[in-house]
Amino acid sequence: MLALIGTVPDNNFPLVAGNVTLENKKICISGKKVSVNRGTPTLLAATIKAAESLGEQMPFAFLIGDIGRGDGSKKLFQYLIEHLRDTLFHTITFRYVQPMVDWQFRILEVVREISPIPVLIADASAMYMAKMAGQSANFELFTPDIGELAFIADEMAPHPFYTRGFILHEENRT
Amino acid sequence: MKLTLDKDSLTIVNISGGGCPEVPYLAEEMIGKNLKNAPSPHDIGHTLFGYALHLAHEEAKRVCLH
Repeated sequence: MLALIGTVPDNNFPLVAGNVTLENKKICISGKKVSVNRGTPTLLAATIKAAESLGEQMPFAFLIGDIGRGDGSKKLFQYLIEHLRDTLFHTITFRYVQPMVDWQFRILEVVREISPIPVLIADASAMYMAKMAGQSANFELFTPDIGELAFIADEMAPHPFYTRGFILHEENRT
Repeated sequence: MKLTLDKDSLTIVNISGGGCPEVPYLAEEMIGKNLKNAPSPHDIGHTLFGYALHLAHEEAKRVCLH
């Protein structure tokens, strides 16, 4: 089963974990509904449509509300440490979560205890977190656009804010 | 961080870049609103991504409103 991990920009959205469906253009999970506008819900919607076309199982998601303070992400990380082993996932995708390096290490420790070790995919902030933690080699796939690539490929940049941006200067040759 | 406007109406039509949960939140709060009265990322943001969008927002106001 494929697992997707991320946040929605609503502080009142609780921590939910379960199979995801798409009904009337809304993501449905554990009795909750989320509009498909941007961020993690768009990835969920695209994954559901792809699964439908390919005849694959619907994805499993771990979601929580977080508007950038990181409080929701911390609760989600703690839940993952306690429950990620409960279900057998062949692939785990991390999307919008607050980049916190120490939690990244703890999550990866849990993943390494799972057998077989799931394929890890880093999307959005999860790519930043993997790079900042020096843990990129644990991930099979990154999904950067050119702006994200500018940070990920800049070995001197500790944070996207300090990217030198040399890739962006040669957009046609990237 | 990038802020995209409709040139005629000055409506904010997209916010992109960055990568933490703050980015979808800022997008939800600002997209569809006019540059003149959209909330400032400086006031509602929490991280360096919010600060970077604040710089883009200030520049957009300087270019389009002055």
